Amino acid sequence: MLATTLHSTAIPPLDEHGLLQDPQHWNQTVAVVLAERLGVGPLTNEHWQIIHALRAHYTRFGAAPAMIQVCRLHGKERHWVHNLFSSCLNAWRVAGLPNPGEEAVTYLSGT
Amino acid sequence: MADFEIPTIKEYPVIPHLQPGVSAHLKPFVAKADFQKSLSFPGELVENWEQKAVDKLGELTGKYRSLRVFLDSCVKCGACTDKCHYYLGTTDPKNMPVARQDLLRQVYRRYYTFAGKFFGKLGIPGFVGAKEMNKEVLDDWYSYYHQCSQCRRCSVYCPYGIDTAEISMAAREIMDSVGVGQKYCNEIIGKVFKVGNNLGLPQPALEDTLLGLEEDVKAATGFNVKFPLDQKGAEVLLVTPSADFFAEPHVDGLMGYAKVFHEAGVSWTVSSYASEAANFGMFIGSYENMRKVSLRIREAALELGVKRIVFGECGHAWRVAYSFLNTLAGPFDFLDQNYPIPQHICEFTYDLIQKGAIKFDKTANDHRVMTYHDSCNVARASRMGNTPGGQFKIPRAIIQATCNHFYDMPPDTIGEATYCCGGGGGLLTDDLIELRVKGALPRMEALKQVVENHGVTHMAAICAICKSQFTKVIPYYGFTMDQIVSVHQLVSDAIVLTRQ
Repeated sequence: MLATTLHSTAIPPLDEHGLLQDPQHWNQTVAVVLAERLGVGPLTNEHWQIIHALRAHYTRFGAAPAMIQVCRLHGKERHWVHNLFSSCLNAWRVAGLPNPGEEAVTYLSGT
Repeated sequence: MADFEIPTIKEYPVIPHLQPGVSAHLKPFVAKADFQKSLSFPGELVENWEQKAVDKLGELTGKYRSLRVFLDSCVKCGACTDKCHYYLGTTDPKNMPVARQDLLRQVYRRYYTFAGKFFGKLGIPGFVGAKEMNKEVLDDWYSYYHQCSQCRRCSVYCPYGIDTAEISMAAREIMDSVGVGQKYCNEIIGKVFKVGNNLGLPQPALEDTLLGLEEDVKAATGFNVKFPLDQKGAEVLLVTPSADFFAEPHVDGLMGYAKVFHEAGVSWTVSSYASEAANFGMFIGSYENMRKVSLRIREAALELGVKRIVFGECGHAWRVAYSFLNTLAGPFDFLDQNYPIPQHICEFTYDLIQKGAIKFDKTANDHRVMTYHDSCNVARASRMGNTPGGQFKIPRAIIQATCNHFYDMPPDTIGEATYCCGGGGGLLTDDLIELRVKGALPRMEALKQVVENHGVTHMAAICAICKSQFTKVIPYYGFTMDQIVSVHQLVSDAIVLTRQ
């Protein structure tokens, strides 16, 4: 119960899709708490590989990547991200990246 | 798995008992002011909105004769009542097509018919099925006109051919005009104007993805199949939904198109400026926005100097392309007139199959027992090839040329009677997930039949929305997401590449 209270206060404000309203608030602790809230994790090395890949792609292109490419570049099968995070949108949420737009949210959520 | 009741698949489809108001709470997020304004709509509910909505309705019935006929001609025969997947899935009587139409028709009657005006003045408009425009009506519109995927199945069964999709589009246009827009559609249209596609993928991101796909295909086949971007002088401009650059199984379809172009020896390119086949302007009934999105395709075709335009797998995009593109963005007199303008990728591939110009190893798909979902806008609002019903025959011919095992779902669920996937018409958003799951019920029932009777393992589609919707919702019915495939994914897996 105490842990839940701590976690709920530790999470910065989220938007209606459960994404950080201000990505500046992201840090590794926030990622851990977000993951726990979403029922993902505990975060393993593979989760962190994905988080870093998504953040790097976003920094470079300002958009979400095609997830099969993320899987391929890490030598993994095509549902790697989905299987670890339950949905690609959860991976995006835990990575603390900004709302990528309505359609990207839909497609990340569906895969 | 869900905080709502998932419909159960029964042994035989049944017409459910009515539960009035059971889906009144289902409505999408409202668009914020900024997104409204970028589409030239008021940012919030305007002053005197009741009168302005009534005036807009009058403008639309004056401009679109069809709309007026649809509002005038319903005789309440009831033929449409059990034809809507959202009614069958939610059991809410306002999802019966006639009831959905009546939400607009009651206002039309009140202000634009003699009987409505007369009894309205006496204070009893309900006597002739008329109703004042008020907040309660507006709320009903917002809810139930966003529980229509504009699939037009009901219109097939209506003896007068009343098209609920057109009524639903008009209602959405009226709501936008008074400042009440839907977030999902309107933000996405804004994204197209700003970036060039629904997914907001800028040119460098597209380039990165396409190069990655080249490497994928090279690694898998040993062939240098190119995925060109913004290549001037290419013969074909491929206009495809941006989902094809982003999600599975869509991207597998894109690999199929690329292999077909490669094997046919036809040069092609994607345009970053017109990197979107989808046109959500149609979903919100906005001619102006639909035209603006379409004009990007014309501009890209002129800029790149292409001779042909080919559309990728996208249902409503093909409706806009096949039925409206010439009047929205034509004339296309600068393109090669020897080919359909525009052409569907299925027509392109089918022609090559007919000529024997591409070959397949069908055993590559032997692990799949296929069925095919006809997408609503392709089935009921367009055509392919040069014979009636080509839009049904051609995709199936491609599947059967690439796969050894194919079985159709029951006849009253395919072809012109096809059920919507449950996510079309601008409803493919998680705000409406309950509606999407429930609306998929009739298709899931049909799929289950062929799974049980014929051992079907996969369902193919040629629409980005259908593919995404099914991938998301079929797990609710006990299937798995990778049971949904692109038609050109089957092509991709079976095509025999010979050219280096």
